[in-house]
Amino acid sequence: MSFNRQHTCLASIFYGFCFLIAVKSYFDYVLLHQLHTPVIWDGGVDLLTYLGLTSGVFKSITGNQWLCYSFDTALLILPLVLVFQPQRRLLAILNFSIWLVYFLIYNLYGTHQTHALTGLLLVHIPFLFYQKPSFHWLWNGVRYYTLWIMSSAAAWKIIRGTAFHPQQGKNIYLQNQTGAIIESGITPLQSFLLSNEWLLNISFPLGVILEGLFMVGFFTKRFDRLLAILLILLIAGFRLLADATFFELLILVLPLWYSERVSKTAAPA
Amino acid sequence: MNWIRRTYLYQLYHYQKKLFWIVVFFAAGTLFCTFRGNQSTPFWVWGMYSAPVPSHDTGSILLMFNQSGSVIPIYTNKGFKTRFYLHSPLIYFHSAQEIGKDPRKAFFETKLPSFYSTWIYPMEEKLFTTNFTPYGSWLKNYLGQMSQTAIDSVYITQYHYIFSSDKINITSIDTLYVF
Repeated sequence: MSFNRQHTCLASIFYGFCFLIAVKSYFDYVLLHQLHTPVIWDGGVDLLTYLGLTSGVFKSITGNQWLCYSFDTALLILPLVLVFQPQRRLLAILNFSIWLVYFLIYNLYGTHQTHALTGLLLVHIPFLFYQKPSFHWLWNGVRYYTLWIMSSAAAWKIIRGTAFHPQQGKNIYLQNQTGAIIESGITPLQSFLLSNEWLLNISFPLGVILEGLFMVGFFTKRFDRLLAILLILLIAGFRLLADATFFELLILVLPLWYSERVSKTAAPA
Repeated sequence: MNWIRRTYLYQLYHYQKKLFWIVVFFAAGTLFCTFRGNQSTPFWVWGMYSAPVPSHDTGSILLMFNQSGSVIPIYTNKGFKTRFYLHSPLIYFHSAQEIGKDPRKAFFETKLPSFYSTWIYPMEEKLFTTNFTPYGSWLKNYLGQMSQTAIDSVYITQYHYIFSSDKINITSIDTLYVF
């Protein structure tokens, strides 16, 4: 497969995924026009967010319903256009900027710094470049960052000792599921897991080991596809056991799955 | 030393110096934020659940009810992002009511007292929520778009529970806020 064709295929998959996330956000009532000018915010310690707050940019957007509609339309339409025209660099830059602002506003008014959309932002970057070597280096860069995400997550838990905490798995599960159980009763799965606590407690260190396996990727690309499958399993595990939905991070499977192929077609001779 | 020549950064340095320095800047920023434990876009920290989670065998949880006494699903809402937008601001609002001010403002006042009074204080109206009163109206508007009907009142109720023998038993119920 030629570089151009490969670039177009990958870009179409990626922008198609962006479009799906935008549609899902609409059905989840979290597009900007659906936020109804939020009145509570928390920027964490994010300097870029505070820049948006002090400049008044975020409030200007969320405080004007027409601006919100325009922003959301761009969020939905731009990825769709880019699926068919991925080489339109200006549109790609505009799309990236809009998703970056959306990411900051979503976290700001959600009053919590979530990471789910970071995957979309990161995979955007190689597609801002259409030349072979730049795309190759950036694609590899995102691959390394994906490895960093998982291996640093394992390192955090090992260094802080929670990987060895005997009750961490159960505590996380109970912290996340109590509300659901009280709200609408216990499900058979919740009942099964809570009556077999050892399964929850063993899943946590097991998850740490699986996250740690991503360190292998820093030394070889031979296991990249296995790591891609592992990434999917871990994201499913986070959803099941920690009620953390990182569906958007699934896009990081792409740099792992296509690492060798991109190297073959786009690496400098 | 042949292995060094095969590394990503070595090759990048020799092919595209400008891109090399951008990548090094990003990596250095990420490492700095990771060691500090504070993230700032785009230098994210991936330490979720690395702190010990305390036992939740006893505790309390906030639930929402509408005017007819039906539960408004927060924790079992089908949309994860909807759950996030119902739950997280509610917890933030509740924390603010407990301490009497924006928790983030309190955080900065405690962690960086001199920096706060010089640099943050003049901008605090922009940086922090100073008036939490409109939250109730906002919540009713937000919920109203989902149910397609106007929400007259929302009751925020705190359920205290004990977890034992694979079961969650409710020990007491308090209505905390009525919007």
